[in-house]
Amino acid sequence: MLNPNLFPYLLGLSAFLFTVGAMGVLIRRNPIVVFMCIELMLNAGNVALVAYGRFLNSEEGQIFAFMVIVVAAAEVVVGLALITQIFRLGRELDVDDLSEMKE
Amino acid sequence: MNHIPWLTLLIVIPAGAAILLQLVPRRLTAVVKGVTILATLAGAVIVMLLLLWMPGNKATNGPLPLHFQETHAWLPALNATYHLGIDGISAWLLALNAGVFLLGALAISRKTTDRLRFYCTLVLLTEAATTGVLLSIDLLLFYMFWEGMLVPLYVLLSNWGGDKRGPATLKFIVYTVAGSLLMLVAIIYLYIQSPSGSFDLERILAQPISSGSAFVIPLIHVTTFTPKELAFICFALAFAIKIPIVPLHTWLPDLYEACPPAVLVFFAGVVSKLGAYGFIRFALTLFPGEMEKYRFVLAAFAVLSIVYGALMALSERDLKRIVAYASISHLGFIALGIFSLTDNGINGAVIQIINHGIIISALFLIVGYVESRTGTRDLGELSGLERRMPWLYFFFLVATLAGLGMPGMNSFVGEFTIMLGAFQLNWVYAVLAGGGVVLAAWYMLRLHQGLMHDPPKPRTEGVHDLHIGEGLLLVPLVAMMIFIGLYPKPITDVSTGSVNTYVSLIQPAASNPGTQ
Amino acid sequence: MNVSTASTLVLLVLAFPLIGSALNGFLGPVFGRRFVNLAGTISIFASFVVACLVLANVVGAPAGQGAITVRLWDWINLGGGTNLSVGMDFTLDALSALMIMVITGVGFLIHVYSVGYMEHDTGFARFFSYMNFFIFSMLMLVLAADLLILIIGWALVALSSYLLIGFWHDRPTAVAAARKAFITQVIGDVALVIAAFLIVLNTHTLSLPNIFARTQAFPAGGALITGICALLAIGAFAKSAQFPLHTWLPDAMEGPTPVSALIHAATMVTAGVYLIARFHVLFNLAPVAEGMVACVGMGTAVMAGIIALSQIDIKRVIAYSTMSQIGLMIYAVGIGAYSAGMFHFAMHAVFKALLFMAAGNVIHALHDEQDIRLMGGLHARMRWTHVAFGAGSLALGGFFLFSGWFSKEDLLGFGTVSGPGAAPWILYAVGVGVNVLTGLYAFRLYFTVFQGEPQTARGFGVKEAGYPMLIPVVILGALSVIVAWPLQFPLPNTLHVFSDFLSPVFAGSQSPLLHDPSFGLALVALIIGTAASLIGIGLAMRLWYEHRPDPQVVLASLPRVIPLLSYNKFYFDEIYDRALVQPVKAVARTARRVVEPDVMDSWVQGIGELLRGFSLDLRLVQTGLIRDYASIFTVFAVVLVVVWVFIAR
Repeated sequence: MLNPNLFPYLLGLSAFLFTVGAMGVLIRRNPIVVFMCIELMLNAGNVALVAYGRFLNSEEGQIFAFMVIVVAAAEVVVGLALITQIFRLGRELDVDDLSEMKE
Repeated sequence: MNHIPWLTLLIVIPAGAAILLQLVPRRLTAVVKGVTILATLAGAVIVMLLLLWMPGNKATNGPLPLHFQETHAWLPALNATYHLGIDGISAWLLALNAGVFLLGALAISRKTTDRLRFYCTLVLLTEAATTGVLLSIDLLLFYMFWEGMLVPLYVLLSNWGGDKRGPATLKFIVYTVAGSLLMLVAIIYLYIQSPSGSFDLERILAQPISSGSAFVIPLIHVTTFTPKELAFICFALAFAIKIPIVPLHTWLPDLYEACPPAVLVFFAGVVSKLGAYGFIRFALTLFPGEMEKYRFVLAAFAVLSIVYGALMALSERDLKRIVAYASISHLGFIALGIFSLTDNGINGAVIQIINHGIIISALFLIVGYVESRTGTRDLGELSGLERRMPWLYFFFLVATLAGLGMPGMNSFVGEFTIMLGAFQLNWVYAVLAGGGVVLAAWYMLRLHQGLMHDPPKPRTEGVHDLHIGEGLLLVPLVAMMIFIGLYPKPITDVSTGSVNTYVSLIQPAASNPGTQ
Repeated sequence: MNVSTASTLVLLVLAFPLIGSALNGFLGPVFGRRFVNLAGTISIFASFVVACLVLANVVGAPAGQGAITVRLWDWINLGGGTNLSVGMDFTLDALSALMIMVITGVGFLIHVYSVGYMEHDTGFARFFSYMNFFIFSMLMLVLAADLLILIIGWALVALSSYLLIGFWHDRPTAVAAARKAFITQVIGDVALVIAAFLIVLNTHTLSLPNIFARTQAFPAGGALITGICALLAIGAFAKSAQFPLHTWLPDAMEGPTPVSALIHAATMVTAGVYLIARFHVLFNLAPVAEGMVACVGMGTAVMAGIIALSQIDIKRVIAYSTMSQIGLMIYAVGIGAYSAGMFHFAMHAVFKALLFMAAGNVIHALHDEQDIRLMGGLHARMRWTHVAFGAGSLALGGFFLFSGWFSKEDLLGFGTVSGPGAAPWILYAVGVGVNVLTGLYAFRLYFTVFQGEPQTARGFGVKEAGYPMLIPVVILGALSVIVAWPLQFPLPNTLHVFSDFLSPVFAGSQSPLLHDPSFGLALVALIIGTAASLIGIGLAMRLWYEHRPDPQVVLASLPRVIPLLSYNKFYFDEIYDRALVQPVKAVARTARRVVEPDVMDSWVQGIGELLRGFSLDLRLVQTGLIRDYASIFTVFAVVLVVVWVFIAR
């Protein structure tokens, strides 16, 4: 159903989204935004997985994508809980400020 | 009697007693101590029975003359077996092990610690591990016990050690673990290379392992070691660290200095002998060709240990360090006997392993008694104890004489046969070892006379003699020193057969180096 | 005598002193002085009685019956190529019977003497325990029929000597002397042990009869047998205080006087002579070693004689005289005159024990004064001791018809018929010189101590010793006059009871150095030797009794080096201290201060430091900034992809 010619564009989209996410993780300092960027990277991966699955005519790509979605959900749960706790402690939400584990 | 797994019992009794102790309320110290003594006593009784039965028990027809074997599958996927067995050599080491731990259990007093249950648990676990080391025929099982021994020891040392226990314990653990890991690599190499595909020593020995071709450094064309030689070096390093042989010895004096006397009794008594045992049981059987090839180098290090340990013992002032270096010197004799690769030398080494266990336990007990009474271990602050402590003087005199290799005492038997073996290797080694004997007389008398003679000093005024309990601990040790000196035949009668088997493993290798 | 009788006798003779030692040591402090005195002396007396039975059995044995060897139990049996197999073997023959007679007989008298000597000492139980133990060890040494058992006895003797020299353990000098004696003995032990190795590796046995039966393993005069004999001789030198292992004996005088009499005069120090006599079969195969032994013996005899002339401690003078006399015995066994050596041993045991005990009486009477310059004039106040000491001095000095004369002239007579070439004659001439020296130092001591006038106020108040100390002295005094008369006459083809008694032991093998003396030569030697002794005694009388000329004048006329060497004991203590003791101590100190921390431990610490430094450097990467970690992660991910896609393909 999907036009095979679209495949390179889908991969390009995935790469674009991944790069945007990665740059966001590296540049932004707000942990919530960093989180969103990570989600973006995961979903870029999902796009690529689904595209490959379709292109190779296999269900495994979609299965992996579901796996990633579940992992991402779990990660969000843990991560947001941490961020909320940090916020409750009355600290500024800045990843550069959170470096107590250095030593 | 043949249906009872005696050897397994030897491991299970102390381990089980350690678990049982956890059910005893902590406050009932008498019960805790009683359980510990009973468990070690049961082990000693079983070993005695095994020694009595051994001459009547028929050894198996394997490459090693093993008695009372037990073989069960352990990790079938890896082909590792739960294989236990004893021969004429390990039987005596087991006897020493059981006796010394019984002594260690009896030596526990209210003064030793206020956390008695914890302490006793660790002692029992250590005994289970050392017993396992002596019984294992399977390499993987052996390695497990070999490493497992360190855990309770580490906890013991870090909880009850002296002032410098931190660095000393760290050094000991890092040193021995480094050696053990090398040995693990070598064990895996043997497992892969052996046609039997097994960790079982007997099955590995049944089919010879090719030594592989030596690695040649490119460009300069220097032939280095074959893989099997490297494996041998790994084994040798692990055992040499444990013995220890100079220059791998520096953990020992620091550790002994930090170690409480009650722990030292079995630490110095047994743990340090396991390295020597490993050389006989594993290095000699698995690598006869390599032992043959490197025997002169190894023996030279053993002689270095003898002389160097003696010189250090001559110049130290701390009682524990003097005994520690004396111990290194004595262990050098044991190593020399093994590396002579002669039946006399190895028989002597077996005798001397037992002797040294007895002597060093007695010496450390005595040092502990002196320290607890005078509050110091500095030889310069101590003198004139003979008049105050006539019984201690008597026991110490016998232990000193045994320590310096007095003919008529137990260590003379060992040193004589070891030096005879060394003489067969090369007379120079025997003469240098003889120099070590003269130095031994010097440093032991320096220690003995320094403590016992001359007018008393402030620290030694008003000390009291041994209690009856303390004296009774020393009586069996001193009796053994004299008995073995007068009648060593029972020991060698059991060990000779096994030793001859081990030596015969070397002979074909000697005639056909490389075993390819 | 059958084997079961023999083993009973051996067990008994050994058991009594051992039981005595244990009783005294463990029960003595409980039961008190009377018990110790009885247990200590009776045990030795019982042993002496058994020794007499042994002697009777050996004498009464049918002709041709050799030594009887009994095995009490198997000691070790290793089998294998070397076939190291040792039993608790003991032998009864003429030689061991003679030795145990002297040991228990003289030993008993000295024990009786000790009852008096140690009357006021608090350590009496310990003392008798050690003394009994010494008798046991010495008996074990002389009865042993296996080299290894002999070594055990050899070392136990050294142990008892160590314990007794250091008996007064509050005296640092005594403690040091004990240690010195013991370590010297250990050197000798090691030499014996190595000799045992050479023997067992070549003959596959350590049992003495078997060794002597398998001498074909050793080519006569070869390097192997010479080496074995040299090592045995080193062991003997250490025990018998011969050059170069002699320095411990004078220091050993720190022990109580009965100890000096028993151990350091009569018995233990002569064990070296016994050893060489026992191993005469081997020594006869090694003429070079024999020659060395003879030279060392004679050299020590001269050296010790010269030193004895200038010492001022009464016990040290006798100690050096002992060293000198043992030198003569060693010389005798060196040239192969074994019976003569053993004869001198027996006579010397009697008169030297006497001299020490009489000296002990003097020391006791003067309240522990040992300096002979502060004595003098004791003859009137200690009549019995004086007479006995005089008899002992005459015996020592070799005065005509005293016991020492018989044995010493017998011994020197063999010097005229020993070996080829000029060396034996030189040794003989030196031996005649030793006779002069002996007379000189023996009577210097006698005259300074007993004649003349008391030198201190204490000297006027001395009293004769009590009976326990006097009776043994008097008995030995009488013996030192008459004991030799029925035994031996120093001329061939005359009375030879003693050497006939020992001949079964020594007859089997003849030293290549010795041939039978002719009557005429022996007579000439006898006259020369006797004259030399008389000259020595006479000179001593002129110098120290009549004071014409004054000894100081004589000394001044000699080259200065001789008195200096004599007084300082040839500087051996200093030389050994500088050349051996201090270097070893310095090496040991260096090992502790430099080698151990900087070499042995440094590489271990070095690895630790290296890893620590590396991890410290690595820690800098750990900034704690999440974005740093993410950047590094990204960069490496990109690098990995680039490598994977563009390079690895």
